[in-house]
Formats: sequence, C-alpha cells, structure tokens
Amino acid sequence: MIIGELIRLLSDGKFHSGEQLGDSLGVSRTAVWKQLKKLEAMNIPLEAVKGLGYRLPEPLELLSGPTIVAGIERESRQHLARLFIEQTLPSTNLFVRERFLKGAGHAEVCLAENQSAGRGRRGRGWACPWGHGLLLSIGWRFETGTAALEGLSLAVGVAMAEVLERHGLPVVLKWPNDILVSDALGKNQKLAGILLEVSGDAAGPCEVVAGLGLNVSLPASVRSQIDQPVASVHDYQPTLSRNRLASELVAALLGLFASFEGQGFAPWRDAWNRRNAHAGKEVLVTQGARQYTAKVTEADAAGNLLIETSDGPDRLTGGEISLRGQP
Amino acid sequence: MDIRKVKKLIELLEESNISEIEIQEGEESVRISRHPNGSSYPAPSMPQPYYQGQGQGYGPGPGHATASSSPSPASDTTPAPAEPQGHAVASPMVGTFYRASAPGAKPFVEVGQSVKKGDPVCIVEAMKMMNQIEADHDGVVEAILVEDGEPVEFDQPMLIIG
Repeated sequence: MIIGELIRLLSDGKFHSGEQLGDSLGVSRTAVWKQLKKLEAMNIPLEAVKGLGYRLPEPLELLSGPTIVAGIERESRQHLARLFIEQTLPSTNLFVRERFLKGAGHAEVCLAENQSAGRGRRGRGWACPWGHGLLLSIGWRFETGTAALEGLSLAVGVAMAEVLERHGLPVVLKWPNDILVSDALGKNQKLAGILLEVSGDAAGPCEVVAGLGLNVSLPASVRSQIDQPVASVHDYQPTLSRNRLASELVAALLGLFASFEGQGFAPWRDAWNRRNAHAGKEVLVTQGARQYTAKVTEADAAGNLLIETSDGPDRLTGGEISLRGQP
Repeated sequence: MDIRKVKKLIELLEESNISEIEIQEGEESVRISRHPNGSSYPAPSMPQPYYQGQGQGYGPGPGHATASSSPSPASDTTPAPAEPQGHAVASPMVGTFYRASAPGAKPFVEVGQSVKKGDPVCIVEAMKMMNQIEADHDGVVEAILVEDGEPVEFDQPMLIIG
C-alpha cells in the first residue's frame, strides 16, 4: 500500500524531495504529490518547503513487530500465539474475529496504524490519525462459556490502567469500559476505549475479542474535531515509545486472559472500584429509550454497576452512564 | 393442509384487522395469530432454539400451530404441516438487545428486508461484551420481536427470518 510506504519514508521527520520519494516508491512525482495530498485528509500534518521537499513536522514512531515482541517479557510472551502488525484495517477487532472464523484467533494480537471503521462500544466511531494511537485487539478462547466471563470487560480496563499508571498517567475508569484521565482540576478526559466482543454461547466455549483504542498523541487539528474532552499519553509522557507501550499493554492483556478463567473478576474488583471515575456522583443512566438520574455506588462482584435511584438501590447490567459535560 | 392455503390465510390476516384465524380441515387444524408486539414469543425456558413459524405467527404461544423441527411432510403427529417459512434467531445469552450498532444509527435490518447468511441482524450485549448476531440463513426478515435496548433472555427469539 503506497500511502503506508510514503508515511514510513517520511516518519523520520526529515526532509525528502518529491523525486526522492518517487524513486523510493517506484512511482512518478505526480503520483507522490497525489498521495501527499491525502495526508492532510488523514489528519497527518505535512510541511512542504521549496527546495527542501516534504517532511512531517512531528516524526512518527511506526509500529514494529520485532520491537513489540522483544519488549514483552518472557512469561507473557509464551502466551502469545501470533502478532499481526497491519498498516490499515477496517478494524482490528474485526480482523481477529475473522481469524476465529478461520479456526485461529486464540492468543493472537493485532495492531494497526490506521482503522477505516474503528468503533467503540455501541458503535461510536473511534478516530485516531495514522500512527498516532494504539489500535490493538487480542483474541482469546475461553472453554467455560460466557458465565465465567463476568467482569472481564472491567478487568481489561484495570489491566490497561495499571500499565498507563506506571508512566505517570492519572487514570480513572468509567463504567463499563472507558479509560479516562483526571486532570489537575479533577476534570475527566477520554484517553482510551475498550470494546469486548464475544461469540459462542452461555454454556460452551466462547471466543472473546478485546479491542483497545488509545490516544498516544493527538494533533491539534484532530483534538479540535472531537466533541468531548480528550487526552493522549503524550500529554503526560511526551517521549514514551508507542512500541514500548504496545509491548506492555499486550503483556498485561495476555496475563489477564491467561488467568481470568481460573480467577474471575474477584482479584480485579477492588482495583476497579478504586479507580471508579463516578463513585458517589450523580449520573444520567441511559437504557434503551429510558433515561434517569442515579447516584453511582460501585461495581459488584459480577462487574455490574450498583446505583442509588429515587426508587432505591439498583444494579446496572447494561446501558450506559454519563456525567453532564464530561466523558 | 396445502401450504398454499396457509399462505393465503396469512395474506388474508395481513390485509385485515383480525388477530387470529383458526381453520380446521378433517383432523388437521391451523391457528394463525398475530401479536404486533411479539408478546407471545416463547418463554425463555423454551428448549428449542428454532421453530417453524407460521409467517405471521411470531411464536408458538398457547394454541398455536405446534412447532415442529421435522422436515417431514404432513402426518398425523404434525397437526400443522407447513414449510419452514421462518424461524427465529434466538439470543445466545442473557443480555440487552440492540437493533443498531450505535444509538441513533441505522438499524441492521428492518422488517421486509432481505438478508444473506452471515449478515449482522442485531447485537446482544452481555456483561459489557458485544455479541453480534448474524443471520444463519438467507431470507427475509419477517418480524423483529424485541425493542431496541430491551433485555433478552437466553434462547429468546429476537427476529424471525423467513
């Protein structure tokens, strides 16, 4: 794919002439120019200087499979069956789901530089420009059926939070599976989203795909297009390597999945509740067409959210909550 | 009973405001009823994931033509021999039913729409995990039995694909 190759050539942040780029890619300068025009639409800032050529004002650290695998410690690496690094995919979750359809998928991890149809839980778009996020999915086959997977979705959030906290990010978790940062003023900003998809039935084996969309860096042009407060890893840790972070997140997910079937949500519950972004807060609950306000208590042993409504205590198993003006 | 006759009856029912028709011919009888809100879908504990609907019959409620998964033609033990005009797409788990991938998005399918095997028809969310449900055969969506955002039980029929 020529655009991916072009981004790779430019990712060093140095100037490249149109001719040079054309030679490297084996296409004409006009073709290069056409591709360069696309970068703008992809929200990748490009600088053009007469006599020098083109460069990315901010160098990009592109994904590197060998670096990521090498960065996963041995114990976790033993769980990893395959790692796929793709340039562009409709979505990494879909890729892993299709791997399952082909009889593979278990313990497979897929990362992509770009998603054309990325989405979050309940299908909301997840837009992150090429090379600026971590779009990561992992497949896992559980033998015990979905009943044993209570709370898995929340546990994934905790595992991701633990990695991000190691790098100094003030992470809080929003039920059921958003990862936020709480800024110095106590305002929450969205950092990452998690989407778990499952197929199979309640009794038999089932296949889970967990997807993570994480903002590593966000160009100002993209930030201004997003209609809610957002944050990126580089806001807090500007030099943190994407590949290193990918290694750590993959290792954490492999460890979680490998142990979850035996341990369940119990070891994760307190860790989730400590990071509950909305503990004690009034939120708007949306369930289908119904909306009402309630006060958030905590996650129960099955990962459901305990709330106080005007009619007394209740338990959310689905639907979603929101805090006015905040993610 | 001749399948064409059953089809004709369904058409008649569709054109009218009648909610139920029962026809008896000899030893065979067919009762066709319609429940606009899908109020008579089988109880969650119904063991069979599929049943042969009667087109408008959204489920083998009490007094319905008996469901049969046997493809064998009319016999004494199957009082309502009918070709499998539609069968239910049942929920694989307890959860929340969604018709669209996102709030406000176009639903995956509408009644009357043709679907191919493998097309997504709805999502069931269980334990904060999304389970995309696909059509298990080619056909036409005859009914959608659950409202968007409503809870579904294990094995509860959600859609009828004819």
